[in-house]
Amino acid sequence: MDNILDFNAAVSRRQFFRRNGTGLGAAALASLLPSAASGLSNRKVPEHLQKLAPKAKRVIYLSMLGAPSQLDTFDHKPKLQERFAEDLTAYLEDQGQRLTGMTSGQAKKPLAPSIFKFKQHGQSGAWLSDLLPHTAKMADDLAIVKSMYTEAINHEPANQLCYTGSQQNGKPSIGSWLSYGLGSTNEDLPSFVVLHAQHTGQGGVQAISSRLWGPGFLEGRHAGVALRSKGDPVLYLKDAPGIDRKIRRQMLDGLNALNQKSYDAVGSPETQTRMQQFEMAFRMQASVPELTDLSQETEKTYEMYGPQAKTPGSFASSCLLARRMMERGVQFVQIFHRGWDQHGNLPTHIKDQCKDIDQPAWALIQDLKQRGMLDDTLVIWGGEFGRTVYCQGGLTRENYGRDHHPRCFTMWMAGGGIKGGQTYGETDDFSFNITKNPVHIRDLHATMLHQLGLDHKHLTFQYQGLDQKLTGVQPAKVIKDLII
Amino acid sequence: MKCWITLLLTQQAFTAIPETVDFNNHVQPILSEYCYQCHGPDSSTRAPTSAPLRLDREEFAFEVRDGRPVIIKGVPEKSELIKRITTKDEDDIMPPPDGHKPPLNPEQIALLSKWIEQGAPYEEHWAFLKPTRPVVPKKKWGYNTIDAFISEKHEEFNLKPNEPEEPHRLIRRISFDLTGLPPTPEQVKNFQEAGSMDLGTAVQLATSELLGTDAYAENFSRHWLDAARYADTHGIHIDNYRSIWPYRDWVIQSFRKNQSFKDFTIEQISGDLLPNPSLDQIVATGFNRCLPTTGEGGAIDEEYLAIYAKDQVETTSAIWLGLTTGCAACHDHKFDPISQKDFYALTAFFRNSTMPAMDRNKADHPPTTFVPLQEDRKAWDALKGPIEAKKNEISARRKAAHPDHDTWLASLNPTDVKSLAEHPDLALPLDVVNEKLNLGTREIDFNKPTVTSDTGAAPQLHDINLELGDLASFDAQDQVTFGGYLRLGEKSRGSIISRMNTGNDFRGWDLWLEGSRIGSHIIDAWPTKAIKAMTKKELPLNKWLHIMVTYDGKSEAKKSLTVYLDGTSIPIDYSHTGNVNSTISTAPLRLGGRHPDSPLSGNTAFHDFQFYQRVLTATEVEQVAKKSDITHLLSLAVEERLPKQREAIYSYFLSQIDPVSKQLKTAESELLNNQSTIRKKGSLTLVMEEKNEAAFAHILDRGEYSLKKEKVDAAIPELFQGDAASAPQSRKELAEWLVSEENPLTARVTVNRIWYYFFGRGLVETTENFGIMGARPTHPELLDWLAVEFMESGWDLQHIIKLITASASYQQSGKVTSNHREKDPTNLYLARHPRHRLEAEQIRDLALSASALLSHKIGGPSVKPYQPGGVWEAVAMNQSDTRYYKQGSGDDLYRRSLYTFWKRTAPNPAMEILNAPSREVFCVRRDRTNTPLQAFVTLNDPQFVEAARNLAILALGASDSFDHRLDFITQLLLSRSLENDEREIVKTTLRNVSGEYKAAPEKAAELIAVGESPTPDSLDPQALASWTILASQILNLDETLTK
Repeated sequence: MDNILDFNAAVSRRQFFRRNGTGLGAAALASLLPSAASGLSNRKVPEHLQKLAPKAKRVIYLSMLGAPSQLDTFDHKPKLQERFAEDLTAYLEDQGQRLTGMTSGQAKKPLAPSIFKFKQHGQSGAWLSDLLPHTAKMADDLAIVKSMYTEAINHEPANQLCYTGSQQNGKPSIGSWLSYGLGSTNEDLPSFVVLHAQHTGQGGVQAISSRLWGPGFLEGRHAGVALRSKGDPVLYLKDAPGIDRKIRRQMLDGLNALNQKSYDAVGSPETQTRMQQFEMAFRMQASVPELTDLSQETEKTYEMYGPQAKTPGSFASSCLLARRMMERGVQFVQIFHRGWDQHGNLPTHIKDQCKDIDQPAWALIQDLKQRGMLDDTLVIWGGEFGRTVYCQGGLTRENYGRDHHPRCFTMWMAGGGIKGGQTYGETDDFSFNITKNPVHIRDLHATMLHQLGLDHKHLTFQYQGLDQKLTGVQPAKVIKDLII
Repeated sequence: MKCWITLLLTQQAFTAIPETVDFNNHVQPILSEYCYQCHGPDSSTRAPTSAPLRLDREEFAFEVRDGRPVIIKGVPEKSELIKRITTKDEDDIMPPPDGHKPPLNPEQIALLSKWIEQGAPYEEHWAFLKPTRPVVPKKKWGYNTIDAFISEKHEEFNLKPNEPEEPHRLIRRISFDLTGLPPTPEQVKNFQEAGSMDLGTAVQLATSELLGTDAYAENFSRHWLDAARYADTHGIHIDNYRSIWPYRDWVIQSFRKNQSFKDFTIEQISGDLLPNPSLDQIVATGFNRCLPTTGEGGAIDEEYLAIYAKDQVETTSAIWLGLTTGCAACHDHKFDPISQKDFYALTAFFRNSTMPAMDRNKADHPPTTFVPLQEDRKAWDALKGPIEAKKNEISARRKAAHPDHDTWLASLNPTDVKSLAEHPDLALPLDVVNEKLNLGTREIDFNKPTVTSDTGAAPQLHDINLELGDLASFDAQDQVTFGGYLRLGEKSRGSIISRMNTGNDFRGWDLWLEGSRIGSHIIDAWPTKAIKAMTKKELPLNKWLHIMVTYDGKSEAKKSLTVYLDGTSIPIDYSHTGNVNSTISTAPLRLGGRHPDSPLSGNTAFHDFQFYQRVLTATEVEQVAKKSDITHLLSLAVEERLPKQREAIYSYFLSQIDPVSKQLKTAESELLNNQSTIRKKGSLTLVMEEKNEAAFAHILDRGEYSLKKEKVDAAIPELFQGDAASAPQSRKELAEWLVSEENPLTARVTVNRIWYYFFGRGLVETTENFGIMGARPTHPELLDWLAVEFMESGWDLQHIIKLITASASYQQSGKVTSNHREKDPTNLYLARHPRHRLEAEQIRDLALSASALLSHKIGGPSVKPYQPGGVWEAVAMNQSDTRYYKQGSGDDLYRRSLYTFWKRTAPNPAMEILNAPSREVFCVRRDRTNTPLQAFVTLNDPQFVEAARNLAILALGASDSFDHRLDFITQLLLSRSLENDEREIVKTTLRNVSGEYKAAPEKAAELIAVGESPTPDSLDPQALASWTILASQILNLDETLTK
């Protein structure tokens, strides 16, 4: 009997990775199998799915929308100071890099060195600018990747590539893939949550679309749930005015009893599922407010996350909330922080933006560490592309702007089996081309999936006749040097 | 549920390998999944590279390799194919272990072996063969031909079909399927009465009646709008409003009159190319304009034109052909015989449009056409003749007025022409005769190329970038007017004259040229705190134009700018209307570009700059434009006047002096005013317009827009090309081919989609994919029979719909028996009616309809019902005109859900939670999930709470008795009265919650205040609150939410 169950579970699991239509996530699958057979981690699964032992159980992705300048934060280019205002037009033509319509017509492309001071930090000696003093303190926890690259040069396609693996519409987001691949570990909370953090910088605010956390062709239940900082944290969560918990319970008791009669008469399993979902909704009405109620956090914790920690919707408060979700079994939290698109007045705007995120990001890592959760929580920080070494608009000694640059940019990762205390990849003197260890967005995705125990080649879903993958059709690789 | 099928099929496969192995049903699914990746249609990945092996087509599969073919007919054990899938050798086994395909399982191997044993017969893929009318099996059950096919499968799988559904449930099902609304209690009663005599006739009558309603047209339009990816915003980046709702209304009208699917197709794809197209036929082409577009600064035209064409091809392919042609954008299709060349030949049909790549974030992204309201259409058409006639009279008078003009001129003493009353605060003639530029207080060298205008010499701004000093400064709250004479040599981009600090977020102002549009920036900090407006229309090149801009800092941003062309204000578009606090700039007034690094190119000439510290009135501007011109001209000696100058004087005479012309003008403007009144009520809508050249495209290597390869003409895929001479070459011919009987797919794909609307799953489950990797039809003969029936009926949708509702398969009950559970748990073979949750819009419309809140208004601009705050704001860009959701009021809150404003980057959340698609890509099959977030919507969304409360008000008013009140509610929501045991449950709830509200009356008051519709004071708040909870309880029943 056990063998048959094993076989069924194995076939089902394989099917769930390969089949189209209404493919089942692990949790839903487990709920369909007899209770003794659930708990997939203990089951015998086909050999090709067994190879990976997860290092990370959950992920926090800090998404800097608009693309932070690598030249002013991590990618230190001291030699550029002497070449202030040098016209790079000829160099750029030589490079053959396509430029956005915003600077392609600009007569001169004067070189703009960063005005920010860089220093080495930690035992690893990582270079960081003085915009990120807190991040600098944890340099030895971070794997700083200076050699990220993408093909997209505009925000929409670049963000889609970053967060759905494809520049085109209609593909599932990272978190949806994880919900599909990993299922859920908390019955009372969604497994993929999105937070929109407020931003201070007014330099360039990009649009954002629910497709960045949408399920694409996966089932709708894999969509990210956006928790809101104003109003109900989950849409329509709160009972209507005048309906208290007791009245709601009385109403649901009657509803359940009536639905049970309907099930008895017609026998549709869908009726049973609906009854369960109404009950889960009732539980979420308690669990979500408990999650988002930060009043039980200590003053010490607030201090650590910084002055904005008590402001709902701030990046600091979002980080704190993310930590609470990690504790409660949410698997993927994505914090979107907009406002990094600094085509002009970059020095002013980037200061505001860095101030928003620097201390909270540091605090998040410390907080996870002190709770023993950093080892199996992967934290990722970064934008969708980099920014140009040449100035967009007028250049002065104090002021400049930077256009989009796809060929190199910097991200960092920490925790979740990532080898900290290293700077990976190198770029040339202009921070224009990668000279060592290039990492494509899809390599980052492959590495992230690997840390979660998923092989990017095997996490597939059949749609339009193809085995679709987060990493797409181009080859992707796990960056072994980045992991323990 | 899918898993159960798989388990079931796997187990069945173990026990029973079929007698005869069928290529399409058994073999191809295995080959396509495990082999075609490297041995299929895609030539670029075919392996091994030295001697590529192709298994998808018979002509290649038996090619001799190393002395013999890989498949030896009749001899599986000697066939290399079987050896390769069974070997233990890691180097030889197929599929190779380094791919992500697991090895074949024993039953798959057994199937392939048996197929080879039986001679390895190949067949063309079923969907690529034209459907023919199959032999109808002898009917063993049911009423019509559909049942004959369905019951054949029942027999095959030992399934026992259900009895007919209870009449009240049946009429509810028909009503929702056809109209998306519940039946009224009267409709239920009539149906029950008629049904007790003859159920079949009752169904036919009800079907005919409902097919004739607007509600039917609206419901089926909604299905179609999913496919067409209709939305009210552009979709990418700024995601501004798009004006295209007349297309939505066209779809509704089309369903209303049951237009044949043939014409429905031809008009949408090529209405603009029909001979003398009607306005409706042009509006129909909005179908191909429903795609998401961008206006993102910096986006590259060519890249987006490639993306758009791909979207259009994918959408057309999915809806009509059921093919995933988009897979062939980067490489030949991996499974279907669609080459990369085929794909790009298809894109050519759509790349011949005059639509610019950038929508410029404008609602009227061209090409567009104006659509008056239905009731204004006659008046609109009636105005055309008189306006035309008046224009002719004006032009006749222009020809005939010379004698009067000469008399006037002769009588005129040039000094009589008064100089202008208004004096500019700054006037820079910029005439450069002396090569010194007079700036009033100083002179600067000005040795630049010049041109001569009708009114004097003028500098060419080409290569000029000249600081003019601390002149013409103003602040955000000031009122100013500025402008001068301008001649555009070619399209260009940049500032003509400005005071702007590019190093300080572009603070300041400019007179700005973009292409051949003119406008102005008023900037505090770009782009958030800035105002920008440009003329809607392009200005003529190589002509002297008088341009004036007024800026009124005391008016709201979106009304602050006015642009005058030759003295008349012309329409402008605002792209930025931010909050501007200060515009004072340290940069000097600068001619030609706003920074030395960004000069204005393109042979633009400009002179006679004038600047006023006030807003001139329209009349004043007209005077400035006309009189400054005319005074100068008249001051010239008669013999010095150039022909153009004489013409200008003549025009002045006609417009300002000649009473006949002036009277004609007045009459014309009255007519134009009437036209403009109608215009304001109607709307522009986006349509298709063809370039005047043959359609072509380039093959794009790896789908990259920049890697152009071979040029290809527009063509349908080679697979479908019969006779080359009649192959479609234009969009019109493509449309005609789509709905021709030569095309094996459209009729099948369309009837399959209709089937899906009624049964929740198509006969082919993958409604969007009939290709090799798509699902196989559960009832192939039925599908073909329906397809042929559809074509022969003249592509009549309602004919197919009537056949479906008349079938026993449709009318049977939804009860799940143990026989069903055991033999067909997922109901592939329809021995019971599939029970499904209602779709998002149906659920909301049900609540509105049952509570009598529903508005029955049809069409018009989209509306904004209740929506939680912050949904748009959280995602929108600052400058988006759909950043703030401004909830509607009155009727707008209660329109049918297909009229809800659809912002692509943030659709209405209640609809989205209930699985409405985002409309970013086509959708011919919706998700149907069951989540707790959905429970929140129907429990707590004010729309649903208000509906429950209104329903309670009506119930309380209808009777004093508990039972009658309850019946009132359940008749509307469930089309039935509750059983006694159910009544007891509801009674308990009522007792409990009444107790709560009695103890806390303030809570009752809170609850009944939800929603904008009024609550009568006469009702007891506690009773109303308690009954609101009851109504909500019934509204949330599984039975209510399900059809």
